[in-house]
This record gives sequence, C-alpha cells and structure tokens, in this order.
Amino acid sequence: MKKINPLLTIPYYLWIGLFVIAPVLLIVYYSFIDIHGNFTLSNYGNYFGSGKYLMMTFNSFLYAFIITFFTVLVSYPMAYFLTKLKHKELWLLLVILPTWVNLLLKAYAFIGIFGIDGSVNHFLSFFGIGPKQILFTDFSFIVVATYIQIPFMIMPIFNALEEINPSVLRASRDLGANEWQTFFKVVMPLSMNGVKSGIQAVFIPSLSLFMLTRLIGGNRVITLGTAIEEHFLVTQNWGMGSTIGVVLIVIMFIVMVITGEKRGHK
Amino acid sequence: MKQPLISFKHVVKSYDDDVQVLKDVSFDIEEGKFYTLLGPSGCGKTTILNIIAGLSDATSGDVYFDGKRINDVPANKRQVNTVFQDYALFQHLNVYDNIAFGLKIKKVPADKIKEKVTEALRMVRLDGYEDRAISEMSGGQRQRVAIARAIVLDPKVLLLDEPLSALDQKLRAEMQYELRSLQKKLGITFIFITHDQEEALAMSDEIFVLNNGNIVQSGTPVDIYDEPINHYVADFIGESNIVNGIMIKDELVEFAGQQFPCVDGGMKPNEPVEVVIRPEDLVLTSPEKGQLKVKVDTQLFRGVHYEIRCTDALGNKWLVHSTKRAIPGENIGLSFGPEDIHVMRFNESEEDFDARLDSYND
Repeated sequence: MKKINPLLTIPYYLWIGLFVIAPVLLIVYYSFIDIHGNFTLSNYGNYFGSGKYLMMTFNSFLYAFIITFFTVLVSYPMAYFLTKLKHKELWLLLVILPTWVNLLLKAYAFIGIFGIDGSVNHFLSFFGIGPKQILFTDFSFIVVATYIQIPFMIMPIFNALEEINPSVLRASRDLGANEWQTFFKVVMPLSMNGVKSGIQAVFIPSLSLFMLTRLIGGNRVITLGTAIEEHFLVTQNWGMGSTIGVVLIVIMFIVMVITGEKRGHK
Repeated sequence: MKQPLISFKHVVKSYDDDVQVLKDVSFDIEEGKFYTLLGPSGCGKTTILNIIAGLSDATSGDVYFDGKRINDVPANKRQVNTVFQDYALFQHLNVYDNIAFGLKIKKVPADKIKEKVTEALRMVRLDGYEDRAISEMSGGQRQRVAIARAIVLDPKVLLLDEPLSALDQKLRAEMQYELRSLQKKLGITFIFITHDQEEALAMSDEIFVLNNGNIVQSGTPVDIYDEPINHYVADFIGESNIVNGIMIKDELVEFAGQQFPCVDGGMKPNEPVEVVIRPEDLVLTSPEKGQLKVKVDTQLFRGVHYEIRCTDALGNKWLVHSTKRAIPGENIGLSFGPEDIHVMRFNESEEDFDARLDSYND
C-alpha cells in the first residue's frame, strides 16, 4: 500500500477525536454525575431500578421495531420493482429526493396533511366519514416515521438486488424453479445483506426519534430520544440524560453486531 | 433413421425487428452424441443454446424435443440443463445445496437427494467437498460444481456455454478429456458452445460451424477439417493456405500458374474456385523436386514445428508447418499429393456441397 502523508490524516483524527470520542467520553462521564454535581451510580440505579425507564426502553424498541417492520414491508417490494424499471436510476433518484428536504419541513407538511382541517380529513368527509383525530396518534407517528425512513431502506436493498448476477436467476429457472421459487430461494437470500444494512440504517435511528414524537405523535409516544431531550432541556438533569444516552449507545452496538454478523463472511 | 432428440425447423430470432441473430436455422440433434456449436462471438451460438434451454424464445420457426413442439414450454419444465459460462453458482449456498437445488425444487426425498448429490460429486471428482462455500472453491472446482449441479437432474441434454473459456490452458486441456469421458459415461447428449476450434475438433462427434446467424457447415471434426465448404470455414478451422484457382475439369485444377491433379470433381469446366492446402500437408524439398517453387520469407520456431512463410513467383503466400527448418531468403520447393488439395466452389450451399461430395466419393 502507498504510504499516506501523515499531514493528510490530521483532519480525520481531529474529527474522530472532537466529534466521536470526546462526546462519548463526556456522556459516559456525565452519566456518573448527579444533578448536584457529585459522583454517583444512582443514575444507573434509577434507570434499571425503576420500571419507568425500562418501560420507555421497551417502548422505544417496540416503536423502532414496528417502524422498521413496515419500512421493510414497503421498501423491499418497491426496491424489487425499481430494479425492473427501464429508467431505474431516475426512479431511484425520485425516491431519494425527499431525504434532501429537511426533516422538520416534512414533519410540518404532515401536520397539514393529517390535521383536523387537513387533506386526509377532507377526503374522508367526502365519503361521509367525519373528521377524525389522525394527528397525535400512534398511527400517524408510525406512518410518518416509516415514510421518512423508507429511502434509507430502499437504497441498500436496491443495491443488493442490482448486484445479483442475472445468470444466477437463469440458472435457477434452468434447474426447474418457477418464478416464485426463484424469488424465495435465490433472490431473497442473495439480497438479505441489503435488508440487514437497511435495518441498521433504520432501526438504530428509530430508537431515538424525538422530534417526530412531539410534532406528529403529540408527545404521547415517549421514546428514549424524547426522554434524553426532556432531561437535557427541561429537567436539566444532565446525568440522567447521559445515562440514557450511554444505554442507547450500547443498544446500538448490540444491534450492529447482530445485523452485521455475516457481512464479513462472503 | 431414428427420431432426432432436438429439431430446429426454420428458427429465426430477431431483436427489435431489425437485428436478426438467427437467420432460418434448421438442424437435428441425436441422442447420446457430443455436439459443438462453433463460431466467433456474435454468430448466434449462445442464442441457439438459450432457445434450447427455454431462456429465450424463437421469433419464428419450430423447436421440437423428442418429437413434441416445445416453443411454449417454459425453461423450468424442460429436460435440459445448462452449465453457464460464468458458472452462475448460488453464492449463498454451499456446494451440497447448490447441487441439491434442482432436486429440492422437484421435491425429491432427502435421502435420495443425498445419494444423488454424492454420486454427482463423485462423477466430477469432488468427493468430500459437500460443505465448502462456493467462495472457497477455485475456478476449476466451481466449474465442476456447475457441471454436477446440472447432471444431477438426469437431463436428456446438457448444454455447455463456453464452460472452459475462463480456465487456464492446462486445466482446459484436462477438462476437455474429462468432459468427453463424462459424456460417454452418462450417455446423454452434450451441446457444447465454443469459439475455440481446437476444443471443438478435440471433443465433438459433430460440429456445427456458425457465422452471422447461419449454420455454414455441419459434420464430423475430420469432415470439417479436411473438406471445408468455403473460405470462411477453411480459415476458421485450423490454419490454411487459400488461393484462387480454376477447375479445368474433374480431378484437374490450376493454381499458382500450374495444373495439378486432385481428387475433387463435380464442377463446371473452367469454373473459378478456391483451393485449400493445409500447412502441414506441404513438404519441404529441393526446388527441382517441388511442385511449387517458393522463396522463404520468415521462419518461426513453434516448438512442435517450424512455421515457415513463403511466397511463390506469382505472389501467393504459402504457410508451411514442418519439423525441418528452412533458411529465410532461400529458394525451396514444396511438394504435396493430389489428396492434399481441397477445392471449394464459391457460394455453394451445404446441401449442394454434400450432394456433390457424395456423387464422386463412391
């Protein structure tokens, strides 16, 4: 390998040090500090001792799981369909396009769509189904979160499907498999890596969604992300907030290890 | 004559209406023989294979398998299996599961699958490799897995799409012997595709030479080598000296300014023809003894023989393969017998060619 000029690696190390290692160390440090500035283990005791936080953790997992589940459910067929299109690159671009729009703007757009005077209720009242409370429900939260995550799921699945050698599909047909069998026995297993990457890209961020929980979920959905925000901005209990942060980081690592186990094994 | 196993009747394949990949191709394939479709890339040989496998449709014409028209039978319902050029193995399955794939689809009982897979692995000499991942196998081994995966289903016809092209020279020669003996052992029809004429000559019972979507000539390797139908085949199969000549009358041809006795006939008197003499049939001799007097231009040592390029008085180029060496710049003689001369008519169809050969051969 060519030797890299050590000067060029400085920005990289600086970045890692300032924005990855230092914040993590700070969070770990704060997680051992109580609200009065003394060293303590009570934050962790609190977290694992009271049912409140464990419930919140469970809730975060549940929602992240539901969001990821629906994202896969929508994205896989969509990605599969995209690979069959003539101008697939263009269509893929259209799918990716919404990710360039700020999350906040999309959230506000959904408030307009799901609100009591929103277009969905207009449409429903057209059939005589009177205005319903859609915004600030679990339903709207999951729909919007899924919508926002879909591009991050489609991309890796699309790429994995594109990488499948077409002659493998012909081989499957040649060996007697019909189209369904080919799909379930060849296409699906060969695209699983894409699904795993997609789950990593969707499940982990979904664990700590907090803005959507407020704007769309109406604060009825409390996830770990919401809790962290509350502790830092409202109750000012940085120690507890950091503790939740540490737990979240550990969970993320676990998820990455689980979904990433076979990636090195070709 | 027994019924052919596969029969193409006036098969045409075109893409987007204007590009004709196959132009009215008809042929019969018999059971238990080794066939080779030989031609340069783009000649339509892979298209023929795909139509037999059912991976591509014929635009018009009929394809028969065992007497039944199979144009509309999908690939997964045909008793034909393919060894693909890039092997197309399933990377997510190990060797055993790759080979068992087709059997599992057919819902063969598990113990029977195990028996058949073991047998197939033994056939391709990969016993004990069941649990290997495909990524752990070498190119030659993958090739064998691909063959095992295809033969385990007991197809009546095995299609091989340039399977040896990715292997190195030595492995290739080895696989040629192995494929040939595998075909003998299984007793099924092999249809082998290649652009390598040596491979075709070495392995086949029957060769179809293709060019531009047509079958130019079909026959045994010896027929095709010794009696090429036209310039294209003579040039494509082996090396040859092709010169223009005039067929004075049956068994007398004029070229290079002289008349020579030959064994061909059935042409019109004084018909313009092309004459083929294979480089290994030309024997170096002294200028007095030779039928042709030529000047040596260059000489290359090829190991098994010297490759000597010469020019005669009229400017015709002659290529000679000889175990004796010549000296560039010297005048030498070339001698050959009447049976070494092969005369080809211009634009003769394969039917006319075969009929003419039959008329004077017996």
